[in-house]
Order: sequence, then C-alpha cells, then structure tokens
Amino acid sequence: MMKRSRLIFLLGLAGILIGSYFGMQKFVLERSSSAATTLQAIELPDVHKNLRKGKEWLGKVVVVNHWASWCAPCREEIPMLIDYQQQMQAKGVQIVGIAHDSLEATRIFGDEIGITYPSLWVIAGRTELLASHGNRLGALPFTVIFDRNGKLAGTKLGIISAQELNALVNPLL
Amino acid sequence: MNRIRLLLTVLLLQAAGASGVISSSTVGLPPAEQAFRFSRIGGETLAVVSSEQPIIPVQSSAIDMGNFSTVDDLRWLLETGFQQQDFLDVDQAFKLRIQAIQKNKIMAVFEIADGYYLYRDKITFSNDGENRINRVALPAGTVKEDEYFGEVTVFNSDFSFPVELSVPYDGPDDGPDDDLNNLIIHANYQGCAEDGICYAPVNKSFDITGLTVIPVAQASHQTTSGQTTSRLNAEIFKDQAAAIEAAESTSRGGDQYTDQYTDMEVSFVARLPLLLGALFAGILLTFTPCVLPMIPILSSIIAGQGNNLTKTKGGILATTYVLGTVVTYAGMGALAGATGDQLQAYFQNIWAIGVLSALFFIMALSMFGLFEIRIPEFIQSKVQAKTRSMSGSIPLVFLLGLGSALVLGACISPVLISFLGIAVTTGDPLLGAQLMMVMAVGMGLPLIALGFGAGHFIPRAGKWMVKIKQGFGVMLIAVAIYLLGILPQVPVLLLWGSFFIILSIFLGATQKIPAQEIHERASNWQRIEKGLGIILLVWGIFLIAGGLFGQRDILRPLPLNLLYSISGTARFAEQSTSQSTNHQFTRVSNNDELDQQLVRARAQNKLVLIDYYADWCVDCIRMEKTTFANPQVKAVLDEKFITVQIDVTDPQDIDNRALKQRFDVFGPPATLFIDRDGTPLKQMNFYGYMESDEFLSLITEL
Repeated sequence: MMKRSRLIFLLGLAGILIGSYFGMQKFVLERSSSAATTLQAIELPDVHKNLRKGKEWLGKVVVVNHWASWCAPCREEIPMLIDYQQQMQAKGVQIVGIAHDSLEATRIFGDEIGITYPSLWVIAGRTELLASHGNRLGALPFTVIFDRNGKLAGTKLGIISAQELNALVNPLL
Repeated sequence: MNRIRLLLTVLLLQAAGASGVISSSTVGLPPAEQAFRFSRIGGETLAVVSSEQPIIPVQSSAIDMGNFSTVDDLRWLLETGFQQQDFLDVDQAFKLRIQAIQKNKIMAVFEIADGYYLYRDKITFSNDGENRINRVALPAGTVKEDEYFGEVTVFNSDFSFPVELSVPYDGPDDGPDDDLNNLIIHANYQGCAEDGICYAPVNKSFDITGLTVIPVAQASHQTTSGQTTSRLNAEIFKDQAAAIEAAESTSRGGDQYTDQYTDMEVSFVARLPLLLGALFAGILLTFTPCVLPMIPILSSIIAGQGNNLTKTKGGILATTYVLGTVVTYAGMGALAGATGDQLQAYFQNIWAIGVLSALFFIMALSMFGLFEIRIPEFIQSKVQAKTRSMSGSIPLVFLLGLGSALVLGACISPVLISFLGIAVTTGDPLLGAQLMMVMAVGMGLPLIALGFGAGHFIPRAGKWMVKIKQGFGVMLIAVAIYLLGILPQVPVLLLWGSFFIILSIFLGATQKIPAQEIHERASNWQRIEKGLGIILLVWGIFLIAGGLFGQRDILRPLPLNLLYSISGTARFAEQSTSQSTNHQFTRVSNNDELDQQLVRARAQNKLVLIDYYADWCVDCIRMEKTTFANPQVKAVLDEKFITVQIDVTDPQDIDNRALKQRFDVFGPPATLFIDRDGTPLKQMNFYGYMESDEFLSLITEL
C-alpha cells in the first residue's frame, strides 16, 4: 500500500509540475502575443484604402507616429518626421503615420501637411492599439519605435524631437 | 462555491478599485461614458450620485507580462512608465458632473486639472432622437494662441454652465416621470495638456428621465456606449469597413484563410498542455483528504439506496452526475474569464497583482491545514437530505451534479479559487470554461470508474492524501511568488530563494536519513526526497545571492560578471580601481553627500548626472573607459554638469540600498539626470551601456 501511494504521490507531483510549467509558459506566451506589441500586429487601411500590414516593413527600423487632426502638437512634429524620413530612408528607417481620424480627415490633413510616408488611419480599436503599444491614456502624439525584427524598442508620449528620435533609432540601425 | 467565486471577483474588483481602475470608460476613452444617477427627494430637491473616477496609476499596460527578466524590458517598462506618469488620465484631467436644476435645465460642471485645458468649440451636447437641447450657455473662456489652430478659446480652470432642455407638453403634470422620458444626453468635449499631448474627443452620456435620472447599469452602459459610437461614427465605420474589404478582396491570395487556420491550430496546441495540467490537477484533487472518502458516499447517493443496479446503469448515472458538475464548473470558468477580460488591462497594477498573489498565498495556507473553507453544517445536511430523494433517475442526477458542484467543492475550494484566478488572469471566457471543464472531468473520473464497478483501481484513503493536498499548497505558493515577480518592485529571487530553502528543509535536506526501518524502499524514497531537497537548498541559496545583486532570472540568478570579479582573474575590477583615481566623477556614498552635490549643482545652475556604478559591473567599466573618456563628452560634462558617481558595489550596504531606492534604481549601470531646478529628468534616464555619439547627443540636448 505504502509503495503504491508513494508512487501516485510522486507521479502526481511530477504531473502538476509539468502541467504548471507548460501552463505558465503558455500563460506568458499568450500575454505577450495578446498584447500585440509587435510591428506585425499592425494591420490598418491607408489613405488609398489599401490594407497595409506591419510585416511589409520588417527588416527596417520602423517609427510609428500616432497623430490626429484634432491634436495640435501632433501637427507640430510631423514636418520633422517628413524630413527625418527623407534623411534616414537610405539607412533603413521607415516612418509610418497612423491617424486617429476618419479617412477624409486623414487625407485632407495629410495632404495639407505634406505627409510622404505611408499614412494609415484607425477609428475602431484605436484605444486598444494605443494600449498595446503601452499608451493607456489614449492621448496623442505618441511615437513607437520597432526594431528590424518588428519588436517594440521604445515609445514617446508627447512631441518627439529629432534628437530623441535619433537616440532611440540609432542603436537599432 | 458560488459565493466564493463572487468573493474572488469582489476582491479583484476591490483591488482594482483601490487603485482606481473601475470604470470601462477609462479603458475605452472615446466615447467614455459615465453613469449618473439622479433621484427625486421630495419636491424639487435633487440628489446626484456620480461615479467618480479615481486616479489611474499609469503603468505600461499588459505588455509582455511576466517576462521582465532582461534589463531592456525593465528599461522599457520604466521609460514608458515614467513618461506616462507625468500625465493624467483623461477623466482625471477633465471631470464632468451633471446636476439637474429644474426639469428643463441641467447644470454641467467641469473640473479642469492644473495644466490642462478644454477647447471651447469642442464642447457640444446632443441627445438621442428629436433634438431637445435648446441652449448651451458656455462661458467666455480664455483666448490661447495656438501655432496651428490660430486663436482658440479654451477653459483651463473649473467652470460650469446651464444647458436648457425643451420639454414637450404632454398633458397636466401629474407625475415626476412624464416630462423627459428616457432622455439620453451626450456630452462631447476634447482637450489637451499644456505639456504637449492631446486627448481624444470624449463622449459621455447621461440618462435623464424627468427629474429622475434612471440608473444606468455598468453592463448596459457599455452597450449604450457602443451604440452611441456606432451611430456617431457610422459613416466613418462604413468607410473603414469598405476600405478593409476592398483591400482584402485585392489581396485575396488565400493566405488570409491559411493564416486564420494556423492561428486556431496553434492556439489549440498551445492550450493543450495547460488543459492537460488542469485534467491532472482534477484527478489529483480527488485524492485529497476530504474528497476521496466522499466518493463511495456520493456514489451511493447517486445510485440510490437498495436499488439493484447494473454496472452500466451505475456508470451512466455517475457520468450524468459528473456532466452536471462539469457544466457548473465550466460556467464558473467562463464567468471568471469574462471578468478577467475587463480587468486584464490592469493586471500590471501593483494592487491587483498584490491582492491576487495574497489570495493564492492564503489559499496555500488552507492547503497546509491552517484553516478550512467549508459550507455551514446545516446547509450541508439539508442538501444531503434533499439529494437522497433525487437519486436513481438520470435527469435528477444531472441536476444534482449541477447543484452539488457548488456545495461539495467547498473543501477543495482553495484550488478551485486558484484555478478561477488563472481563468481571470487569462481574460478569456473560452479558456476559462475549458480549464474548469477539464478539471471537473478529471475530478469526476474516479467517480465514473466507481460507477462502472472499477472501484478497485481507486487507492484507499490514507495519510498520503495529506501530502497531495500539501503539494497543491506548494504549487499555490509558487504561483503567488510568480505573480509577485511580475512587479519590478519585488525582489523576486529573494522570495524564490526563501521558498526553495524552506521547501528543501521540509523535504529533509538538512536531516539525517533515519536508519533503515522495516522497508528498504521507504528509505530509498527518503533518499530521493532528500536529494531533491538538497538541490532546492543549493538553488535557493544561489537565488538569494542573485536576488541581492538585483537579478531577476530564476534560471540565471548570478550575474556573469560577478563571477569574474570573484575569481580573481578580475581584469575589469583592476581597471576600475586604477581608473577611479583619475575620473571626473564625484563619488558619493550616502544620501547626505548626494544632497550636498545636488545643492551645489543648483547653486551653480548646472545639471546633475548620476551614475550608478559597481566594481563588478562590466558595462559600467566599459562606459567609463569609452563613453566617459571621450574628450567631447568630457567637455560637455564639465561645462554643463555636476557628475556624481554612486558606488553600489556592496549591495548589502544600507546607504547603497537607500541610494538605489531614492531613484528606484535596481542596479548598475544606471544613468540618471536631474534638471537645473532639481527635478529628475526621468524620461532621459537610461539603463545599460550607451555609446559616445548617442550619449553626446543626449547630453548636448539637455
């Protein structure tokens, strides 16, 4: 009797250990994937009504700039981003704008400011998108940097300066 | 059980509430809705109860939870945390209360936090159906020069104004409710912080009926919010949907479907181990002291007494009963998962994790027999009496299973609660249901076996069952520590180390194996136990050592460079000592000395750079040899900064610990900046090594 019960106990303990190990791994895995912090998780329409997927920019250092027409500071920093894109394109930097606006507003303001990089827009799920990038206030402007593998590498809430952008982007180049 | 589940939910909600994480409106900013409740007291007196929103401590949300083992992760968490801590949640920045004054007039009261402002022209009121908003008497506001919008009128301090409503005449006024029936009023507003961020437009709804405002339940309130949004943004949604559809139809190479398919497949395969774990736990639960003795009794209740029962009939009855329990448990799991979905965003929160972890710990104590959760005796006996009459018939036995899952689960409830806790944290109703379902099946298997007459497979009750219960207790404590480890503030390795060491002592690591008694085998088991114990003991000691060095990885507790410096081949350590004589930093060893330097910096109107340094920190030394040795960097540092170095080589030192705590630094290398006026420039802080160029651009900018 003693023998069998010990065996059951040990097997059971091993079972729990193995189960919880995998369980926890899965738990952690699901957390990280559901948080959608990767570039690949971005799938949004652009101003030409084409669905753009984050994975198309894999291999580049991607700077995602969340902005909106109703956000004055956003519009203040965009000209810098346009310049930055032109300067850094050759080095493998890609700027992607995500407007938290309607298609029309995105198009009108994008043209007015002269955005040359891909301009996506989001309405439904905008809060979740921001939260997944670590911004729980839902406030703008908000800039997110992904490394060449699409992993989130840095964020900045509020106007970003060229220096700050350099400090975040350069180590990833 | 149900009550306990509720308790769990309440506990979690309280945890969330304590730190200000209640309302859905804080999660989904536009349109954020707030339920207001008006009630009529006497003639024209009105009481207003608003669901005030407490401060949201902003930490980075549910990102890569549980895996902050690397400095990079930590650094990122710190950065985002620091950045966002400086700004208020939108509902803290702009608080709106509505008060009813007369039956055709409401008062809107805005509280604006310091340093925030609302755009005057973005404040609008609307209602569902025919327009009832007569006049919104906004005050003048202040004029603000905006580089992009030109002259704009804003409100940067508290203000209030009346909103006049038109009341349709519907006969003599004979009751409180016939004036404004179900009038839903939406308030829209949008604003920014002076420090350069803007919040999305906010939409809040108030349900006004006459002078009474109908209570808006949290759940229905969410759907209203959804409806409102969709109505307001119907056009935009249509746009977006069409765009996505167009894009999909052009790129329809079939890969979308394959993606989806593999997604599902992967998720099932990934779930399998977790579910198997749950099944195993379920089976094991049967062998705990209060369940196993119940099984024959339960089995006789199900089968009915004195019946001449075939094995098949008995088996079917047992299966039916188990299916009943499965349904109840699955329901509980789904509920827990659904609750978790709403709370998920806050699981980064220190209070939520703290309470959850404490819950696991308390439940573990119960498994060690410190206390028992049980249904009061009188209920138990009543239930038993009732159930006797239900035995023998399949539908009734199913109902019995449904109901008794709630009652009989009581003594294993610590484990059940913990499983529900996991379901809550996964935030997935389906996974929650699956987990609980599989566990219930596991628990039911022995019963089914008995029903089919396979009773001899089931081991007899004995003292060993206590060990299984204790095993559960150990697992629960492990889960509690794991959860705490998610918080960067917790020195998790110290906890793991203590846990392992205590566990090892229970396993007999420090005891002599007693002389052979009757069975040789028994002693062999003891040897295995002792062996395991010793492994845990050694591991535990390493963990504690690593924990003291601020490490967080349970598999790699000791920092590699520590080994270098211990082993005497410490090239790095030597360099640092020769270096430390001629570097330009002022070394401080306690808070008072640091304060002196801070005062000196303010007097000279200089910035402060604080470098956390340790002899065993390779990156620190590298930085000293390269970045800080760079002549350009030196020039800028000399000109603009007071540079302070804090030597935290000895983590035991009280002063060192205080110095680390002061700026929430976990360990070197950490570089912190303090502004000329003495405020920490948190967003500039960084951990780890930084190259000269990058560092130069950083310090020149300051």
